[in-house]
Amino acid sequence: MEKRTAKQYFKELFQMFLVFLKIGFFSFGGGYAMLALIEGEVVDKKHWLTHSEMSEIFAIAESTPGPIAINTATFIGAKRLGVFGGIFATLGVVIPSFAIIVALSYILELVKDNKWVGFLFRGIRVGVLVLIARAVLSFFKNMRKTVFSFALCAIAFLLVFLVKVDVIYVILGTIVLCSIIVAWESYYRNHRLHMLGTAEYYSERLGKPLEVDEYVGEKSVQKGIVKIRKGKDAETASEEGGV
Amino acid sequence: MIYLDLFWTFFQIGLFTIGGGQAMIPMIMTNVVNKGWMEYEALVDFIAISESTPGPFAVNIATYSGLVAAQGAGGIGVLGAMCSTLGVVLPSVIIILLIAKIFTTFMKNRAVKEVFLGVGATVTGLLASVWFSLFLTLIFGLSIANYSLVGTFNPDWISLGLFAVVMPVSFIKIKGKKFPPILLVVICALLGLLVFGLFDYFGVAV
Repeated sequence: MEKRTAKQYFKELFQMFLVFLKIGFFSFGGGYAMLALIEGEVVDKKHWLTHSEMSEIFAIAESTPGPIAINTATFIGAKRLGVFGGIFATLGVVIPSFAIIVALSYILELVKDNKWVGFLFRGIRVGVLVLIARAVLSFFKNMRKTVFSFALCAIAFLLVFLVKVDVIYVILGTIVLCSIIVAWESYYRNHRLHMLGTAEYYSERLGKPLEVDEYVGEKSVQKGIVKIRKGKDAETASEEGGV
Repeated sequence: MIYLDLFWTFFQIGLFTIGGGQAMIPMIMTNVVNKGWMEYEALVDFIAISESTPGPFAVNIATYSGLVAAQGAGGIGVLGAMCSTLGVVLPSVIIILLIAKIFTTFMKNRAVKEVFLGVGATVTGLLASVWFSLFLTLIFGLSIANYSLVGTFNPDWISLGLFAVVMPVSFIKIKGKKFPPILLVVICALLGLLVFGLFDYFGVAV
């Protein structure tokens, strides 16, 4: 954050609110469509952030919990003006949606028994089928194509579709499972390298001396690729005597 | 109390949504319908409305669910809407403020990325399940309960036909961008009006 006087701070806070109010009003089509609009306002017009800062924020917004638009607004606000900036930017982006939906709900209540409105909505339901199908496809496209991912995907499908498990438990379960696997993997990787042998052992096997700080996995040696783990690992391993 | 219940439910939904508003659909579907806040079909209609009104999808759908749920429970609609919207937004705001302040490197952490990739795979499965359930219900009038199909098999050929027409159209790219959802919804609404209206006019039960 730059240094500002109190007056400048409040002025920019108000501007921040207005800009996101505008974005909230004019962005149709969900978070991703909103990103272009945000970029135009915040980077090109107001010069609050640079393009590269912006793309970093988008990347974070995409991969943290919550709606992307909200994440982006909060982040931009917080980056420029601290906690209150985050709150005001978010308020700005939420208020138009909120007002429009509340107004719309009263209109819906008035027309819901009309025959023609019924036909309209039967068409729209087909539209929802198409929209969700597209969402499935785009999530599938972004999915890492490993056996593990496919298994997670299939299990989640069956648990919710057939067994009717609460969705939150499925997501929580995934988080726990993945955390355990990641922790186990990093533990395994560190310890296996110790067990494989010392740098001297490998330099003997290779028939040429290795760099002092280098440490090599067995498979990497077989392939002739020297993959390095530097420093302490090699030392501890040689103290333990390796294999 | 309905307001607290709304807040807490949508807080959980906001917290466990990774990958944008649409990842939220499975959770909203189960919670809102199971708690009797909204009927399944009303919710489906509203998903389309949320996609075609300005603003974040998640906020739109939370606002509407809160409004309808609070009114249904005999409370004040707008207050319910405020609770659910606050609930859905608050986890994001807290998490992002923390990240912006403290852990800018948090998201670059390999472990975090791995876990989120896993969640991405799960959400794909969840969304597929939502789609398939929706397809069975809307097109064939069937649903799944106790591991078997229930309901009377009553295929809606007109909707199936519309789906077969609109789905390929939705893959068309406009100026290199995805077919805009709002246009899709408008097209479907007009087609629905036209096709169902025509069948109705000629005396075919729809």
